[in-house]
Amino acid sequence: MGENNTQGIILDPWFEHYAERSSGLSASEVRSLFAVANRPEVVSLAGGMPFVRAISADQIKNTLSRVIDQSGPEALQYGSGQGHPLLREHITRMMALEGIAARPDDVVVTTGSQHGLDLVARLFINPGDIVLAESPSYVGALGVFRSYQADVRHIEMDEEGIIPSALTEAIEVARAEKRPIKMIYLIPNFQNPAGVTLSAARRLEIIDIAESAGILIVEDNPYGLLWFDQPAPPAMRAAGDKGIIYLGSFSKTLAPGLRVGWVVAPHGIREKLILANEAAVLSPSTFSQLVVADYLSHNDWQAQITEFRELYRERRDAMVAALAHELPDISHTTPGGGFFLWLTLPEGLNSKEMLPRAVTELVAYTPGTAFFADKRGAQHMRLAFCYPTPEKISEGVSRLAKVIRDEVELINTFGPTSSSTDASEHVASPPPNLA
Amino acid sequence: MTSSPSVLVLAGGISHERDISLRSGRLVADGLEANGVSVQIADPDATLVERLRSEKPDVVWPVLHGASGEDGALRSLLEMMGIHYVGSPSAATRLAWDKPSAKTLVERAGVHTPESISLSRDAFRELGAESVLGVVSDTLGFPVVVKPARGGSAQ
Repeated sequence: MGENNTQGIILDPWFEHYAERSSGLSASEVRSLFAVANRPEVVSLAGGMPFVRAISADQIKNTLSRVIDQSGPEALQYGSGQGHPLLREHITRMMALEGIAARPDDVVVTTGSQHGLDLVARLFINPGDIVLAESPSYVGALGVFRSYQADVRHIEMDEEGIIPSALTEAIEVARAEKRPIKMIYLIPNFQNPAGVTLSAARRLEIIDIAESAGILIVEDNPYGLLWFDQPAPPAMRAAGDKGIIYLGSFSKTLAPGLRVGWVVAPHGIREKLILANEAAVLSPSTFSQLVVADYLSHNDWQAQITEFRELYRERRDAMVAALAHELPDISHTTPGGGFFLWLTLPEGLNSKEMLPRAVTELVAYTPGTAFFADKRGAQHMRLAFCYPTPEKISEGVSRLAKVIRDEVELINTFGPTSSSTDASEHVASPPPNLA
Repeated sequence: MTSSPSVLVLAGGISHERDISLRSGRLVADGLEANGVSVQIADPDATLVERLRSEKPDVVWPVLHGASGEDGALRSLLEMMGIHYVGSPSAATRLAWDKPSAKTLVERAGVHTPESISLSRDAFRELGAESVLGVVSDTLGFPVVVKPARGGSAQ
Protein backbone atom coordinates (compact mmCIF):
# COMPACT_ATOMS: atom_id res chain seq x y z
CA MET A 1 0.00 0.00 0.00
CA GLY A 2 3.03 2.26 0.48
CA GLU A 3 2.16 5.92 0.80
CA ASN A 4 -1.55 5.21 1.04
CA ASN A 5 -1.11 3.32 4.27
CA THR A 6 -0.33 5.47 7.27
CA GLN A 7 0.18 3.54 10.48
CA GLY A 8 -2.06 0.75 9.24
CA ILE A 9 -5.00 2.96 8.29
CA ILE A 10 -6.21 2.41 4.73
CA LEU A 11 -7.22 5.87 3.58
CA ASP A 12 -8.73 4.87 0.24
CA PRO A 13 -9.75 1.22 -0.27
CA TRP A 14 -9.79 1.74 -4.08
CA PHE A 15 -6.19 2.96 -4.21
CA GLU A 16 -4.93 -0.12 -6.05
CA HIS A 17 -7.69 0.12 -8.67
CA TYR A 18 -6.91 3.50 -10.18
CA ALA A 19 -5.62 3.75 -13.74
CA GLU A 20 -1.97 4.73 -14.05
CA ARG A 21 -2.86 8.08 -15.61
CA SER A 22 -4.76 9.10 -12.47
CA SER A 23 -1.51 9.15 -10.50
CA GLY A 24 -1.04 12.68 -11.83
CA LEU A 25 -4.28 13.78 -10.15
CA SER A 26 -2.87 14.63 -6.76
CA ALA A 27 -4.40 17.41 -4.71
CA SER A 28 -2.19 20.33 -3.99
CA GLU A 29 -1.08 20.94 -0.44
CA VAL A 30 -1.47 24.63 -1.17
CA ARG A 31 -5.06 24.06 -2.28
CA SER A 32 -6.46 24.73 1.16
CA LEU A 33 -4.46 27.93 1.35
CA PHE A 34 -6.13 29.08 -1.84
CA ALA A 35 -9.49 28.39 -0.23
CA VAL A 36 -8.53 30.98 2.37
CA ALA A 37 -7.71 33.41 -0.40
CA ASN A 38 -11.43 33.88 -1.05
CA ARG A 39 -11.98 35.32 2.41
CA PRO A 40 -12.57 39.06 2.45
CA GLU A 41 -9.64 39.87 4.73
CA VAL A 42 -7.18 38.21 2.36
CA VAL A 43 -6.01 40.04 -0.76
CA SER A 44 -5.75 37.33 -3.37
CA LEU A 45 -3.27 37.95 -6.13
CA ALA A 46 -3.47 34.22 -6.85
CA GLY A 47 -6.55 33.41 -8.86
CA GLY A 48 -7.14 34.30 -12.48
CA MET A 49 -10.81 35.13 -11.99
CA PRO A 50 -12.26 37.60 -14.46
CA PHE A 51 -14.05 40.57 -12.89
CA VAL A 52 -17.50 39.45 -13.99
CA ARG A 53 -19.22 42.11 -11.92
CA ALA A 54 -18.33 44.51 -14.70
CA ILE A 55 -20.97 42.82 -16.84
CA SER A 56 -24.44 44.32 -16.63
CA ALA A 57 -26.75 42.08 -14.63
CA ASP A 58 -29.70 43.51 -16.56
CA GLN A 59 -28.19 42.45 -19.86
CA ILE A 60 -27.75 38.91 -18.55
CA LYS A 61 -31.29 38.82 -17.14
CA ASN A 62 -32.70 40.00 -20.46
CA THR A 63 -30.66 37.40 -22.30
CA LEU A 64 -31.87 34.63 -20.02
CA SER A 65 -35.49 35.73 -20.47
CA ARG A 66 -35.17 35.83 -24.24
CA VAL A 67 -33.50 32.41 -24.38
CA ILE A 68 -36.31 30.86 -22.34
CA ASP A 69 -39.08 32.76 -24.15
CA GLN A 70 -37.80 32.22 -27.66
CA SER A 71 -35.85 28.96 -27.52
CA GLY A 72 -36.77 27.31 -24.21
CA PRO A 73 -37.32 23.73 -25.39
CA GLU A 74 -34.25 23.86 -27.63
CA ALA A 75 -32.09 25.32 -24.84
CA LEU A 76 -33.08 22.49 -22.51
CA GLN A 77 -32.49 19.76 -25.08
CA TYR A 78 -29.38 17.84 -26.22
CA GLY A 79 -27.63 19.57 -29.08
CA SER A 80 -25.03 19.00 -31.75
CA GLY A 81 -21.64 17.56 -30.82
CA GLN A 82 -20.05 20.31 -32.89
CA GLY A 83 -21.96 23.07 -31.15
CA HIS A 84 -24.86 25.36 -32.05
CA PRO A 85 -24.60 26.84 -35.57
CA LEU A 86 -25.66 30.30 -34.42
CA LEU A 87 -22.92 30.47 -31.82
CA ARG A 88 -20.33 29.13 -34.26
CA GLU A 89 -21.29 31.98 -36.58
CA HIS A 90 -20.66 34.52 -33.80
CA ILE A 91 -17.36 32.85 -32.97
CA THR A 92 -16.06 33.32 -36.50
CA ARG A 93 -16.85 37.04 -36.27
CA MET A 94 -15.04 37.28 -32.96
CA MET A 95 -11.97 35.48 -34.33
CA ALA A 96 -11.93 37.82 -37.34
CA LEU A 97 -10.89 40.57 -34.88
CA GLU A 98 -7.61 38.70 -34.49
CA GLY A 99 -7.14 38.07 -38.18
CA ILE A 100 -8.54 34.54 -38.33
CA ALA A 101 -10.62 33.73 -41.39
CA ALA A 102 -12.70 30.71 -40.41
CA ARG A 103 -16.11 29.36 -41.35
CA PRO A 104 -18.68 28.22 -38.80
CA ASP A 105 -18.08 24.70 -39.99
CA ASP A 106 -14.44 24.93 -38.85
CA VAL A 107 -15.48 25.51 -35.23
CA VAL A 108 -16.14 22.91 -32.52
CA VAL A 109 -17.76 24.30 -29.37
CA THR A 110 -16.47 22.87 -26.08
CA THR A 111 -17.24 23.15 -22.38
CA GLY A 112 -14.69 25.91 -21.91
CA SER A 113 -11.39 25.88 -23.78
CA GLN A 114 -9.94 23.71 -21.01
CA HIS A 115 -12.23 20.96 -22.27
CA GLY A 116 -11.04 21.69 -25.81
CA LEU A 117 -7.45 21.21 -24.69
CA ASP A 118 -8.39 17.97 -22.94
CA LEU A 119 -9.99 16.65 -26.14
CA VAL A 120 -6.94 17.61 -28.21
CA ALA A 121 -4.64 15.91 -25.70
CA ARG A 122 -6.88 12.83 -25.68
CA LEU A 123 -6.68 12.59 -29.46
CA PHE A 124 -2.94 12.90 -29.74
CA ILE A 125 -1.00 12.01 -26.61
CA ASN A 126 0.16 8.51 -25.81
CA PRO A 127 2.00 7.95 -22.51
CA GLY A 128 5.56 9.24 -22.87
CA ASP A 129 4.90 11.44 -25.91
CA ILE A 130 6.63 14.78 -25.82
CA VAL A 131 4.76 18.07 -25.57
CA LEU A 132 6.77 21.26 -25.95
CA ALA A 133 5.53 24.21 -23.92
CA GLU A 134 6.69 27.65 -22.90
CA SER A 135 8.80 28.11 -19.81
CA PRO A 136 6.72 28.69 -17.66
CA SER A 137 3.38 27.39 -18.96
CA TYR A 138 -0.29 27.43 -17.95
CA VAL A 139 -0.89 25.27 -14.88
CA GLY A 140 -4.20 23.94 -16.23
CA ALA A 141 -2.54 22.76 -19.45
CA LEU A 142 0.22 21.04 -17.50
CA GLY A 143 -2.50 19.24 -15.54
CA VAL A 144 -4.10 18.00 -18.76
CA PHE A 145 -0.77 16.86 -20.21
CA ARG A 146 0.12 15.13 -16.96
CA SER A 147 -3.18 13.28 -16.93
CA TYR A 148 -2.34 11.86 -20.38
CA GLN A 149 1.17 11.00 -19.15
CA ALA A 150 2.93 13.34 -21.59
CA ASP A 151 6.56 14.27 -21.19
CA VAL A 152 6.36 18.07 -21.07
CA ARG A 153 9.52 19.92 -22.02
CA HIS A 154 9.75 23.64 -21.46
CA ILE A 155 11.21 25.98 -24.05
CA GLU A 156 12.93 29.12 -22.82
CA MET A 157 11.25 32.47 -23.34
CA ASP A 158 12.45 36.04 -23.32
CA GLU A 159 10.52 39.30 -23.54
CA GLU A 160 9.45 38.39 -27.10
CA GLY A 161 8.08 35.00 -26.10
CA ILE A 162 9.35 31.54 -26.88
CA ILE A 163 12.87 31.56 -28.39
CA PRO A 164 12.93 29.92 -31.85
CA SER A 165 16.48 28.58 -31.53
CA ALA A 166 15.55 26.94 -28.21
CA LEU A 167 12.55 25.34 -29.89
CA THR A 168 14.69 24.00 -32.72
CA GLU A 169 17.18 22.63 -30.23
CA ALA A 170 14.44 20.88 -28.20
CA ILE A 171 13.08 19.31 -31.39
CA GLU A 172 16.55 18.05 -32.32
CA VAL A 173 17.09 16.59 -28.86
CA ALA A 174 13.78 14.73 -28.99
CA ARG A 175 14.51 13.50 -32.51
CA ALA A 176 17.89 12.22 -31.36
CA GLU A 177 16.07 10.32 -28.64
CA LYS A 178 13.69 8.96 -31.30
CA ARG A 179 10.77 10.22 -29.26
CA PRO A 180 7.58 11.57 -30.87
CA ILE A 181 6.77 15.25 -30.29
CA LYS A 182 3.01 15.56 -30.50
CA MET A 183 2.50 19.28 -30.13
CA ILE A 184 3.88 22.67 -29.27
CA TYR A 185 1.54 24.27 -26.76
CA LEU A 186 1.64 28.07 -26.74
CA ILE A 187 -0.25 31.01 -25.26
CA PRO A 188 1.06 33.71 -27.61
CA ASN A 189 -0.91 36.64 -26.14
CA PHE A 190 -0.32 38.00 -22.62
CA GLN A 191 0.77 34.58 -21.58
CA ASN A 192 -0.42 32.85 -18.44
CA PRO A 193 1.58 33.04 -16.21
CA ALA A 194 4.38 35.23 -17.57
CA GLY A 195 2.33 38.01 -19.18
CA VAL A 196 4.66 37.90 -22.19
CA THR A 197 3.45 38.27 -25.80
CA LEU A 198 5.02 36.38 -28.68
CA SER A 199 6.25 38.94 -31.23
CA ALA A 200 4.77 39.00 -34.75
CA ALA A 201 8.06 38.00 -36.37
CA ARG A 202 8.55 35.09 -34.01
CA ARG A 203 5.04 33.82 -34.62
CA LEU A 204 5.92 33.25 -38.27
CA GLU A 205 9.28 31.76 -37.35
CA ILE A 206 7.70 29.32 -34.91
CA ILE A 207 5.06 28.34 -37.49
CA ASP A 208 7.83 27.65 -40.04
CA ILE A 209 9.82 25.56 -37.55
CA ALA A 210 6.75 23.53 -36.57
CA GLU A 211 5.65 23.10 -40.16
CA SER A 212 9.01 21.84 -41.35
CA ALA A 213 9.26 19.50 -38.37
CA GLY A 214 5.71 18.25 -38.93
CA ILE A 215 4.56 19.17 -35.42
CA LEU A 216 1.15 20.54 -34.50
CA ILE A 217 0.89 23.91 -32.79
CA VAL A 218 -1.81 24.30 -30.16
CA GLU A 219 -2.51 28.04 -29.89
CA ASP A 220 -4.38 28.82 -26.68
CA ASN A 221 -5.73 32.35 -26.86
CA PRO A 222 -8.04 33.31 -24.00
CA TYR A 223 -6.60 36.82 -23.49
CA GLY A 224 -5.95 38.05 -27.05
CA LEU A 225 -8.69 40.71 -27.07
CA LEU A 226 -7.76 41.99 -23.61
CA TRP A 227 -4.87 44.21 -24.68
CA PHE A 228 -4.02 47.44 -22.85
CA ASP A 229 -1.50 49.42 -24.80
CA GLN A 230 -1.75 48.11 -28.33
CA PRO A 231 -3.46 45.14 -29.97
CA ALA A 232 -1.60 41.85 -29.97
CA PRO A 233 -0.16 40.72 -33.31
CA PRO A 234 -2.51 38.64 -35.47
CA ALA A 235 -3.21 35.18 -34.08
CA MET A 236 -0.93 32.39 -35.31
CA ARG A 237 -3.99 30.71 -36.80
CA ALA A 238 -4.40 33.84 -38.94
CA ALA A 239 -1.48 32.54 -41.00
CA GLY A 240 -3.77 29.79 -42.22
CA ASP A 241 -4.39 26.18 -41.35
CA LYS A 242 -0.73 25.10 -41.32
CA GLY A 243 -1.19 22.50 -38.59
CA ILE A 244 -2.46 24.93 -35.98
CA ILE A 245 -5.18 24.01 -33.51
CA TYR A 246 -6.70 27.17 -32.07
CA LEU A 247 -8.38 27.27 -28.66
CA GLY A 248 -10.77 30.11 -27.93
CA SER A 249 -12.83 31.00 -24.88
CA PHE A 250 -15.63 33.21 -23.63
CA SER A 251 -14.37 32.86 -20.07
CA LYS A 252 -12.40 36.11 -20.14
CA THR A 253 -14.42 38.15 -22.61
CA LEU A 254 -17.79 37.22 -21.09
CA ALA A 255 -18.01 34.86 -18.11
CA PRO A 256 -16.30 31.61 -17.08
CA GLY A 257 -19.43 30.38 -15.33
CA LEU A 258 -21.04 29.74 -18.71
CA ARG A 259 -18.25 27.28 -19.60
CA VAL A 260 -18.19 27.93 -23.31
CA GLY A 261 -15.05 27.70 -25.39
CA TRP A 262 -14.16 26.44 -28.84
CA VAL A 263 -11.58 24.76 -31.01
CA VAL A 264 -10.67 25.50 -34.61
CA ALA A 265 -8.63 22.72 -36.14
CA PRO A 266 -7.54 21.34 -39.50
CA HIS A 267 -10.40 19.45 -41.14
CA GLY A 268 -9.46 15.86 -40.23
CA ILE A 269 -8.73 16.78 -36.62
CA ARG A 270 -11.99 18.70 -36.38
CA GLU A 271 -13.93 15.56 -37.33
CA LYS A 272 -12.18 13.57 -34.62
CA LEU A 273 -12.78 16.38 -32.13
CA ILE A 274 -16.52 16.26 -32.76
CA LEU A 275 -16.54 12.51 -32.10
CA ALA A 276 -14.41 12.95 -28.98
CA ASN A 277 -16.69 15.76 -27.81
CA GLU A 278 -19.74 13.52 -28.23
CA ALA A 279 -18.02 10.68 -26.42
CA ALA A 280 -17.16 12.94 -23.51
CA VAL A 281 -20.26 15.12 -23.06
CA LEU A 282 -22.69 14.16 -25.89
CA SER A 283 -23.06 17.84 -26.65
CA PRO A 284 -21.80 21.02 -25.02
CA SER A 285 -24.50 22.78 -22.99
CA THR A 286 -27.13 24.05 -25.43
CA PHE A 287 -28.43 26.40 -22.78
CA SER A 288 -25.05 28.08 -22.25
CA GLN A 289 -24.43 28.30 -25.99
CA LEU A 290 -27.76 29.99 -26.62
CA VAL A 291 -27.13 32.39 -23.74
CA VAL A 292 -23.77 33.39 -25.24
CA ALA A 293 -25.23 33.64 -28.76
CA ASP A 294 -28.13 35.79 -27.56
CA TYR A 295 -25.83 38.01 -25.51
CA LEU A 296 -23.61 38.58 -28.54
CA SER A 297 -26.63 39.26 -30.78
CA HIS A 298 -28.33 41.82 -28.54
CA ASN A 299 -25.48 43.63 -26.80
CA ASP A 300 -22.49 45.70 -27.82
CA TRP A 301 -20.03 43.02 -26.76
CA GLN A 302 -17.08 44.86 -28.25
CA ALA A 303 -17.87 47.80 -25.96
CA GLN A 304 -17.92 45.37 -23.04
CA ILE A 305 -14.49 44.08 -24.04
CA THR A 306 -13.24 47.68 -24.24
CA GLU A 307 -14.56 48.22 -20.71
CA PHE A 308 -12.73 45.10 -19.54
CA ARG A 309 -9.52 46.37 -21.15
CA GLU A 310 -9.75 49.68 -19.33
CA LEU A 311 -10.57 48.00 -16.04
CA TYR A 312 -7.70 45.52 -16.26
CA ARG A 313 -5.29 48.16 -17.54
CA GLU A 314 -5.99 50.26 -14.45
CA ARG A 315 -5.33 47.22 -12.27
CA ARG A 316 -2.13 46.32 -14.10
CA ASP A 317 -0.96 49.91 -13.62
CA ALA A 318 -1.83 49.76 -9.92
CA MET A 319 0.18 46.57 -9.48
CA VAL A 320 3.20 47.82 -11.42
CA ALA A 321 3.16 51.10 -9.47
CA ALA A 322 2.85 49.30 -6.13
CA LEU A 323 5.72 46.97 -7.00
CA ALA A 324 7.89 49.93 -8.04
CA HIS A 325 7.12 51.60 -4.72
CA GLU A 326 7.35 48.62 -2.38
CA LEU A 327 9.87 46.35 -4.08
CA PRO A 328 11.92 48.55 -6.42
CA ASP A 329 14.74 46.01 -6.74
CA ILE A 330 12.54 43.06 -7.72
CA SER A 331 12.27 42.18 -11.37
CA HIS A 332 8.95 41.38 -13.00
CA THR A 333 7.31 41.42 -16.40
CA THR A 334 4.98 44.26 -17.37
CA PRO A 335 2.25 42.67 -19.46
CA GLY A 336 0.59 44.53 -22.30
CA GLY A 337 -2.69 42.77 -21.63
CA GLY A 338 -4.28 39.80 -19.91
CA PHE A 339 -4.40 39.03 -16.19
CA PHE A 340 -0.92 38.23 -14.89
CA LEU A 341 2.60 39.34 -14.27
CA TRP A 342 5.57 37.16 -13.41
CA LEU A 343 7.81 38.13 -10.56
CA THR A 344 11.33 36.91 -9.88
CA LEU A 345 12.29 36.73 -6.21
CA PRO A 346 15.75 37.50 -4.86
CA GLU A 347 18.24 34.63 -4.94
CA GLY A 348 17.56 31.96 -2.33
CA LEU A 349 13.86 32.66 -1.77
CA ASN A 350 11.33 29.92 -2.41
CA SER A 351 7.85 31.09 -3.34
CA LYS A 352 6.13 27.86 -2.38
CA GLU A 353 7.73 27.71 1.06
CA MET A 354 6.90 31.36 1.58
CA LEU A 355 3.20 31.01 0.72
CA PRO A 356 1.93 29.97 4.18
CA ARG A 357 3.67 32.99 5.68
CA ALA A 358 2.14 35.23 3.04
CA VAL A 359 -1.33 33.86 3.76
CA THR A 360 -0.76 34.53 7.44
CA GLU A 361 -0.06 38.14 6.40
CA LEU A 362 -3.35 38.04 4.46
CA VAL A 363 -2.02 38.02 0.92
CA ALA A 364 -1.98 35.13 -1.55
CA TYR A 365 -0.16 34.48 -4.83
CA THR A 366 0.57 31.45 -6.98
CA PRO A 367 4.04 29.93 -6.52
CA GLY A 368 6.09 29.62 -9.70
CA THR A 369 6.44 25.87 -9.26
CA ALA A 370 2.82 25.48 -10.41
CA PHE A 371 3.83 26.48 -13.92
CA PHE A 372 6.58 23.98 -14.58
CA ALA A 373 6.43 20.25 -15.19
CA ASP A 374 10.08 19.83 -14.22
CA LYS A 375 10.38 21.12 -10.67
CA ARG A 376 11.59 24.59 -11.55
CA GLY A 377 9.99 27.90 -10.72
CA ALA A 378 10.55 28.19 -6.97
CA GLN A 379 12.19 31.58 -7.36
CA HIS A 380 9.17 32.97 -9.19
CA MET A 381 5.55 33.75 -8.51
CA ARG A 382 2.55 34.70 -10.59
CA LEU A 383 0.61 37.76 -9.50
CA ALA A 384 -2.91 38.22 -10.86
CA PHE A 385 -4.26 41.76 -11.10
CA CYS A 386 -7.60 40.87 -12.73
CA TYR A 387 -9.87 40.54 -9.71
CA PRO A 388 -8.91 42.83 -6.80
CA THR A 389 -9.59 46.56 -7.01
CA PRO A 390 -6.57 48.87 -7.49
CA GLU A 391 -6.72 49.77 -3.78
CA LYS A 392 -6.70 46.11 -2.78
CA ILE A 393 -3.84 45.46 -5.19
CA SER A 394 -1.75 48.18 -3.53
CA GLU A 395 -2.54 46.76 -0.11
CA GLY A 396 -1.77 43.22 -1.26
CA VAL A 397 1.57 44.20 -2.77
CA SER A 398 2.44 46.08 0.42
CA ARG A 399 1.73 42.95 2.50
CA LEU A 400 3.65 40.80 0.05
CA ALA A 401 6.61 43.19 0.21
CA LYS A 402 6.73 42.79 3.98
CA VAL A 403 6.78 38.99 3.65
CA ILE A 404 9.54 39.14 1.03
CA ARG A 405 11.62 41.54 3.12
CA ASP A 406 11.26 39.21 6.11
CA GLU A 407 12.38 36.26 4.00
CA VAL A 408 15.36 38.18 2.67
CA GLU A 409 16.35 39.01 6.22
CA LEU A 410 16.11 35.32 7.16
CA ILE A 411 18.25 34.35 4.19
CA ASN A 412 20.78 37.02 5.14
CA THR A 413 20.92 35.58 8.65
CA PHE A 414 20.93 31.86 7.93
CA GLY A 415 21.66 31.46 4.23
CA PRO A 416 19.31 29.79 1.76
CA THR A 417 17.32 26.74 2.79
CA SER A 418 18.31 23.39 1.35
CA SER A 419 14.76 22.34 0.63
CA SER A 420 14.46 23.18 -2.79
CA THR A 421 12.39 23.23 -5.63
CA ASP A 422 11.13 19.72 -5.40
CA ALA A 423 7.63 20.94 -5.31
CA SER A 424 6.01 20.52 -8.64
CA GLU A 425 4.12 17.37 -7.77
CA HIS A 426 2.32 19.27 -5.06
CA VAL A 427 0.78 21.77 -7.37
CA ALA A 428 -1.11 19.27 -9.45
CA SER A 429 -4.82 19.71 -9.66
CA PRO A 430 -5.20 23.37 -8.90
CA PRO A 431 -8.57 24.68 -7.82
CA PRO A 432 -10.48 26.13 -10.78
CA ASN A 433 -10.01 29.72 -9.69
CA LEU A 434 -6.26 29.25 -9.88
CA ALA A 435 -6.45 28.89 -13.62
CA MET B 1 -35.57 13.57 28.66
CA THR B 2 -33.29 16.49 27.85
CA SER B 3 -32.53 17.42 24.23
CA SER B 4 -28.97 17.01 23.01
CA PRO B 5 -26.73 20.08 23.25
CA SER B 6 -25.99 22.14 20.18
CA VAL B 7 -22.30 22.14 19.35
CA LEU B 8 -20.46 24.58 17.11
CA VAL B 9 -17.20 23.10 15.85
CA LEU B 10 -14.63 25.72 14.82
CA ALA B 11 -12.26 24.62 12.09
CA GLY B 12 -10.21 26.23 9.34
CA GLY B 13 -8.93 29.68 10.12
CA ILE B 14 -6.10 31.49 8.44
CA SER B 15 -2.87 29.67 9.03
CA HIS B 16 -0.68 27.23 7.21
CA GLU B 17 -2.32 24.54 9.36
CA ARG B 18 -5.76 25.30 7.94
CA ASP B 19 -6.05 22.06 6.03
CA ILE B 20 -5.25 19.94 9.07
CA SER B 21 -7.74 21.93 11.13
CA LEU B 22 -10.50 21.41 8.56
CA ARG B 23 -9.90 17.68 8.51
CA SER B 24 -9.78 17.43 12.30
CA GLY B 25 -12.95 19.52 12.59
CA ARG B 26 -14.78 17.26 10.17
CA LEU B 27 -13.74 14.21 12.21
CA VAL B 28 -14.98 15.78 15.44
CA ALA B 29 -18.28 16.78 13.82
CA ASP B 30 -18.78 13.30 12.35
CA GLY B 31 -18.12 11.71 15.72
CA LEU B 32 -20.60 13.99 17.46
CA GLU B 33 -23.27 13.53 14.80
CA ALA B 34 -22.87 9.76 15.01
CA ASN B 35 -23.75 10.12 18.68
CA GLY B 36 -26.88 12.14 18.02
CA VAL B 37 -25.46 15.57 18.80
CA SER B 38 -26.63 18.56 16.78
CA VAL B 39 -23.49 19.97 15.15
CA GLN B 40 -22.60 22.94 13.01
CA ILE B 41 -19.13 23.72 11.67
CA ALA B 42 -17.87 27.29 11.35
CA ASP B 43 -14.73 28.68 9.76
CA PRO B 44 -13.84 31.55 12.10
CA ASP B 45 -13.85 34.92 10.39
CA ALA B 46 -15.23 38.39 10.96
CA THR B 47 -18.77 37.01 11.25
CA LEU B 48 -18.03 34.54 14.06
CA VAL B 49 -18.80 36.75 17.08
CA GLU B 50 -22.13 37.79 15.61
CA ARG B 51 -22.95 34.16 14.89
CA LEU B 52 -22.09 33.13 18.43
CA ARG B 53 -24.36 35.89 19.72
CA SER B 54 -27.30 34.96 17.54
CA GLU B 55 -27.07 31.16 17.55
CA LYS B 56 -25.96 30.81 21.16
CA PRO B 57 -24.54 27.28 20.87
CA ASP B 58 -24.46 25.27 24.08
CA VAL B 59 -20.86 24.30 23.46
CA VAL B 60 -18.10 25.51 21.15
CA TRP B 61 -15.52 22.93 20.17
CA PRO B 62 -12.42 24.70 18.82
CA VAL B 63 -10.39 22.50 16.49
CA LEU B 64 -8.20 25.32 15.26
CA HIS B 65 -4.48 25.29 14.69
CA GLY B 66 -2.18 28.24 14.47
CA ALA B 67 -2.25 31.45 16.42
CA SER B 68 -5.96 32.23 16.30
CA GLY B 69 -6.87 28.85 17.69
CA GLU B 70 -3.99 27.99 19.96
CA ASP B 71 -2.79 31.20 21.57
CA GLY B 72 -5.68 31.41 24.01
CA ALA B 73 -7.27 34.53 22.52
CA LEU B 74 -10.37 32.82 21.18
CA ARG B 75 -10.90 30.96 24.42
CA SER B 76 -10.59 34.19 26.40
CA LEU B 77 -13.29 35.65 24.21
CA LEU B 78 -15.56 32.62 24.72
CA GLU B 79 -15.03 32.89 28.48
CA MET B 80 -15.94 36.57 28.38
CA MET B 81 -19.08 35.77 26.39
CA GLY B 82 -20.02 33.05 28.85
CA ILE B 83 -19.94 30.27 26.25
CA HIS B 84 -18.83 26.79 27.27
CA TYR B 85 -16.10 25.25 25.19
CA VAL B 86 -14.13 22.03 24.97
CA GLY B 87 -10.45 22.09 25.87
CA SER B 88 -8.03 23.72 28.26
CA PRO B 89 -8.77 27.17 29.66
CA SER B 90 -7.33 30.22 27.97
CA ALA B 91 -4.52 30.79 30.50
CA ALA B 92 -3.21 27.24 30.10
CA THR B 93 -3.55 27.40 26.34
CA ARG B 94 -1.58 30.63 26.22
CA LEU B 95 1.29 29.02 28.13
CA ALA B 96 1.23 25.82 26.11
CA TRP B 97 1.20 27.78 22.84
CA ASP B 98 4.66 29.14 23.59
CA LYS B 99 7.01 26.15 23.53
CA PRO B 100 9.84 27.66 25.62
CA SER B 101 7.34 28.65 28.35
CA ALA B 102 5.62 25.27 28.24
CA LYS B 103 8.94 23.48 28.44
CA THR B 104 10.06 25.48 31.46
CA LEU B 105 6.76 24.77 33.21
CA VAL B 106 6.79 21.03 32.69
CA GLU B 107 10.46 20.92 33.76
CA ARG B 108 9.53 22.72 36.97
CA ALA B 109 6.84 20.13 37.51
CA GLY B 110 9.50 17.43 37.40
CA VAL B 111 8.91 16.15 33.90
CA HIS B 112 12.06 15.31 31.97
CA THR B 113 12.43 17.17 28.70
CA PRO B 114 15.31 17.11 26.23
CA GLU B 115 18.17 19.55 26.65
CA SER B 116 17.42 22.62 24.60
CA ILE B 117 17.99 26.27 23.93
CA SER B 118 15.50 28.94 22.84
CA LEU B 119 16.88 31.50 20.47
CA SER B 120 15.10 34.48 19.01
CA ARG B 121 15.47 35.59 15.44
CA ASP B 122 17.08 38.79 16.70
CA ALA B 123 19.73 36.76 18.53
CA PHE B 124 20.76 35.05 15.31
CA ARG B 125 20.77 38.32 13.41
CA GLU B 126 22.65 40.38 15.97
CA LEU B 127 25.15 37.79 17.17
CA GLY B 128 25.63 36.04 13.84
CA ALA B 129 23.99 32.74 12.97
CA GLU B 130 27.27 30.92 12.48
CA SER B 131 28.71 31.74 15.90
CA VAL B 132 25.39 31.06 17.66
CA LEU B 133 25.06 27.69 15.94
CA GLY B 134 28.69 27.00 16.86
CA VAL B 135 27.75 27.19 20.55
CA VAL B 136 24.74 24.94 19.93
CA SER B 137 26.94 22.46 18.13
CA ASP B 138 29.60 22.47 20.89
CA THR B 139 27.11 21.97 23.71
CA LEU B 140 24.17 19.97 22.32
CA GLY B 141 25.93 18.30 19.41
CA PHE B 142 24.17 17.16 16.27
CA PRO B 143 21.65 16.07 15.22
CA VAL B 144 19.28 18.56 16.82
CA VAL B 145 15.54 19.03 16.38
CA VAL B 146 14.64 22.58 15.39
CA LYS B 147 11.15 23.82 16.21
CA PRO B 148 9.57 27.23 15.88
CA ALA B 149 8.68 28.64 19.31
CA ARG B 150 5.06 28.83 18.19
CA GLY B 151 3.06 26.82 15.67
CA GLY B 152 2.36 23.16 15.35
CA SER B 153 1.22 20.27 13.19
CA ALA B 154 4.82 19.24 12.61
CA GLN B 155 5.29 16.66 9.90
